[in-house]
Amino acid sequence: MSQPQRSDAELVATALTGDADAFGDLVRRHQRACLRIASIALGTTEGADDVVQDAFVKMFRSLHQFHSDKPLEPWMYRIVTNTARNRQRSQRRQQATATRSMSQADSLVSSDAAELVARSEQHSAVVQAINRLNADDRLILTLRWFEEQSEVQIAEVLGCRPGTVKSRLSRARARLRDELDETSSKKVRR
Amino acid sequence: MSLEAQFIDAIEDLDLPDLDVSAAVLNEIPATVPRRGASTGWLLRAAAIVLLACASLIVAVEPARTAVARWLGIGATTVEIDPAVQPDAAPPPNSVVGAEVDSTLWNPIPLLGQPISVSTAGDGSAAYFWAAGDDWAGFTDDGVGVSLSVRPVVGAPSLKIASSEGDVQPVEIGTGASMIFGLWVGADHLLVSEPDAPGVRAARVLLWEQEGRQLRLESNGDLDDVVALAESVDVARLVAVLEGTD
Repeated sequence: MSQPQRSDAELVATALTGDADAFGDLVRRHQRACLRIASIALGTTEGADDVVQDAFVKMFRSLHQFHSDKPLEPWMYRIVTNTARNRQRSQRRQQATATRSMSQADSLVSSDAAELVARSEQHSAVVQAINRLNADDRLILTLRWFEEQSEVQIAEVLGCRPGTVKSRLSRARARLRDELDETSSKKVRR
Repeated sequence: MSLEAQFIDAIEDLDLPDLDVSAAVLNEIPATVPRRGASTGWLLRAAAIVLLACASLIVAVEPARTAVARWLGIGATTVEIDPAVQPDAAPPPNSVVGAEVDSTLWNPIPLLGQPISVSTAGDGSAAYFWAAGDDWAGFTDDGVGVSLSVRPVVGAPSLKIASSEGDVQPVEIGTGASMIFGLWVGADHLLVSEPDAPGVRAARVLLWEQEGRQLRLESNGDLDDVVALAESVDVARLVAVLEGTD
């Protein structure tokens, strides 16, 4: 009979006793979601693995700060998001760009867009619309719709107030809808 | 198909690399988990970079905070981490009341439009306030504007108490040889400016030192936006304006 899967809180408690394997289990359990968040925050999958690795090391070092009565994901996603943003900022500086144009960092990677499988024309239109959103819009929609985080949890991830999350979500949804309509109308015009 | 379902469908197709970082992570972490107060983590590395400010700290610390493990700061401002702190329990910050400002007054952050209030003191301190508006993309919907304050580095000490280490991070301001480190307190926190005072809730703030001044940029905008604002400030000219030498 297989062992019941230990909860995140149990794994954290065990890791805090010095059991690194328990932390390894946490990494394996959440790394894919973290990789997705990092890719969305970076605007590319390139370098996302390094961000996730750094983020998990930071998590381990800060593990004693995690409140085990709360879900792990918001705390974890916050560290991943901050690590990705720091990485992005650092890379921008290395590129020594005189202007702080966000377009380069915020265009979710045309190459990645190509890698997204377009199963249908509508699917392709959605992918294009998502790629035209800025990174913040993509991130907040991903946290809400894909990772199913509550507005309060997203506020914890993004370091803002729940009310701000609500308005940002609303704007991001509207911008996605606008982008989708624009993509569709272009196709009609063609 | 709903917009949400289409979005999920597209994100599911994001071609993530199929990898396992657990071995690399475990290779990087120490054999035992650092306890509160242990000498680890970025905070101490940051503390080595950012100016430590304990010598002049005279703010009384409540007994419950004596277990605070680590602190760092800039100028006369010290930042502590105390998980017991509940900034939300404190009264909300006062909203900025608009006032007539001389339109010919030099504006340190033109990106924000005209400030609605400026106050100066004889010691070279000043505070500028901007109301939330359309001039800057970083304004959020909570109606809280932006404030920039500047004061001599040597001044009355103040204490900021954040509830989580994750709320405080060093950030780079500027590039190349002119790059300096600032400190971002990225969540509501308690500000204690008088000994034995209970502390008031303060909003997210970027602290840095430049041209012999301590600067504080308070905003609910994202860190990237706030850093961009900080980088746009011509601090040398700001100091000259305040000293009347411009």
